[in-house]
Amino acid sequence: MNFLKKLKETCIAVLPISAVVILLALTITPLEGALLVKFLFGTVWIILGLTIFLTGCDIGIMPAGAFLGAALTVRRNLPLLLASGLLIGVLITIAEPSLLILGQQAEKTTGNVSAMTLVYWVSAGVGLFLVLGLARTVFQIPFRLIIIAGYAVVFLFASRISPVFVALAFDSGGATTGQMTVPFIIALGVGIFSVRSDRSAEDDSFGLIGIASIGPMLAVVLLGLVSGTAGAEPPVGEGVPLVAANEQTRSLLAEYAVLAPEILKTVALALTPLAVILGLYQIFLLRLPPRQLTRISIGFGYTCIGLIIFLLGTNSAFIPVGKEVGFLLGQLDYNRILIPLGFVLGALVVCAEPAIWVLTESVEEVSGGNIRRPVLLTALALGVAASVGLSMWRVLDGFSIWYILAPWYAAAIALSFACPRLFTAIAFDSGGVASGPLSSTFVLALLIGASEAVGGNPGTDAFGLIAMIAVTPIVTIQILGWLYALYAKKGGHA
Amino acid sequence: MTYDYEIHTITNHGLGERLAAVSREAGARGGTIMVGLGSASSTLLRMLAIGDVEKDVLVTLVTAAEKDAVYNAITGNSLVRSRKHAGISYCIKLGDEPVDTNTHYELITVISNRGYAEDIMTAARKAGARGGTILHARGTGKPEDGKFFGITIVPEKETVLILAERTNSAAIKDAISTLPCLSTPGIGILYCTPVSEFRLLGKNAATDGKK
Repeated sequence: MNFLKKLKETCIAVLPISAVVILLALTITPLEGALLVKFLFGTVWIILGLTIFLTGCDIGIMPAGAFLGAALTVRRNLPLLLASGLLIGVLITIAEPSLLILGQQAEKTTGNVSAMTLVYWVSAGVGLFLVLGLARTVFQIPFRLIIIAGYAVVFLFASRISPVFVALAFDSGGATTGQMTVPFIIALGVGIFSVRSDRSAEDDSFGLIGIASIGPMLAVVLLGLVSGTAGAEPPVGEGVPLVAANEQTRSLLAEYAVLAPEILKTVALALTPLAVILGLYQIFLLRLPPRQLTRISIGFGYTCIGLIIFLLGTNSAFIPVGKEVGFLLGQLDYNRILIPLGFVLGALVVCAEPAIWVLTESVEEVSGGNIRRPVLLTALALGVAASVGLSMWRVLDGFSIWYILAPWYAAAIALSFACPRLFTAIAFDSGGVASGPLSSTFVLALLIGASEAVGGNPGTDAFGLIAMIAVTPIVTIQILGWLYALYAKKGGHA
Repeated sequence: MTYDYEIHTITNHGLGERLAAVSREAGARGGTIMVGLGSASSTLLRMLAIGDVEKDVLVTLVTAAEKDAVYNAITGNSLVRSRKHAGISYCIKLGDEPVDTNTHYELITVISNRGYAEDIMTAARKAGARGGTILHARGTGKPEDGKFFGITIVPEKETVLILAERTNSAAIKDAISTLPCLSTPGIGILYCTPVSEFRLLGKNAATDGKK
């Protein structure tokens, strides 16, 4: 049964992180009883919410995307296809929970960009680049060309704006491709390519996400340019009360009562436009039969409910506890422990992310079984572990994100020349996949807390984490693809 | 060489490979596994739309001489026997000889454009079908197939397999073919195949599936 399977997957994803927190709470960072209880409840909400959300995606969002993709291609109307890509890209991104959470944390931490501004800019970016991605497949423009041009523009602008926006920009790229966007865009791609029978169809079905995730980076970089140097000197350390004192004294129920209306509003704001536009497509283009329509509507309902429960869990528990734990760890004399801890968290986040399992499966498939799942998983886990570890180091010492991002992206692009095209497409797709709901909630919050404790600037030091997690798989998978190509060239088919 | 029977085994996802191996041991030359979706038997789960189960559909071609051994090996497999419900298995007689008409079952196959399977299943259930399996497929060779900037477009299809008792198969066929959403010409086809043998798989399965 798909619900139970999803429940199992989410448990595997969330529980290890919870276990680490509880372990920390019992040893080096004692948490108050009330906070710990809140965290335990939060864990339950997150597991439940994510399960319902993913079930909803499976029966509502994904089929809707696939039907739409197929219907749009069958029409053989290029303007319609591209205009729809733009519209859908924008709306689905507005509905993306990971982006919303990132925006909220950015608003609270840096104080110079509002959550919704970020969301709107990023959505516009995704829409435009989705169009580019669709146009690419139609006109058969090489994937590498778009990636290189896209990143070149991003880096060019990024070098001219304040560091706050740099970190945020690269984070947005990773966060945007979250639980909502990835399935829908993949489904849209699958829908489009399912009606094709030519040989390159399979190759082209990857790469859409990779291109779409450049959009947000460019959008935020431009946002940084537009808002000028206002963010150049962010308030150091004082922006936010570290852990709002009243949050802990409030009872659990009272807190939920405060959070719930806010979350309801957010979710409604996020999902309504998408529902309306899909409704219009249903009337004018799709004309799905009644039962199928009911089913997709039910799926939408699940998505909505799941999102509400999930956000309740993150906002009431994972984010405050993450900050608190990070703050306490940062205050320790031996706060270097954050680096190995980051390593552990990074590895846990990767192995636990359900989307990663899907990814490893498709890589195993396209490599004809030569890149085995455990190999890829180990490579990814090591890569992301290193990324989170490095991010922790950056929080402690506050060096510029450029020192890390520039070499990684340079390597990613250089490798695209050496490795088979299909692997490059999969690699860039997977960048966003690795940064799931757990990294944008708990791990980021922990970094913000730690950064505050060591007196750093969370706006520049803590953000950038998601970007780091996102760039790792791009490099890792391409290296594996390159090795695979070398191996295949030698004629070695074992 | 000519085959005389086609055995279809619809079972839980993951069991297909095992049963293919078992049937090969019993003399079959090969087998094809397709992944389908079965809908849940519980009305509540169906209403909540969370009851779908992945199914393996194993197709095995055998000669008359091999049929009994292979069929018994599949339905009698211990892995299958150990579960309460493990799906169904049935044989279709191939060739032009008249089919043995004393069987009680018929296979209804509906091939329609993508997206209609849910509606087809709902109508079939209302008319008395106990279950069905949905397979994703692609159509080919229709005049509408065309090119779009060098991309060849092929229509997506869904195939629904429903095994029905002879007594109510007519009602099911009527219910499906009169569905309002299937009234557009060219939207799909429906046909029946007589089934010469039918067994339920699993612990409580009666050997002739009459239960």
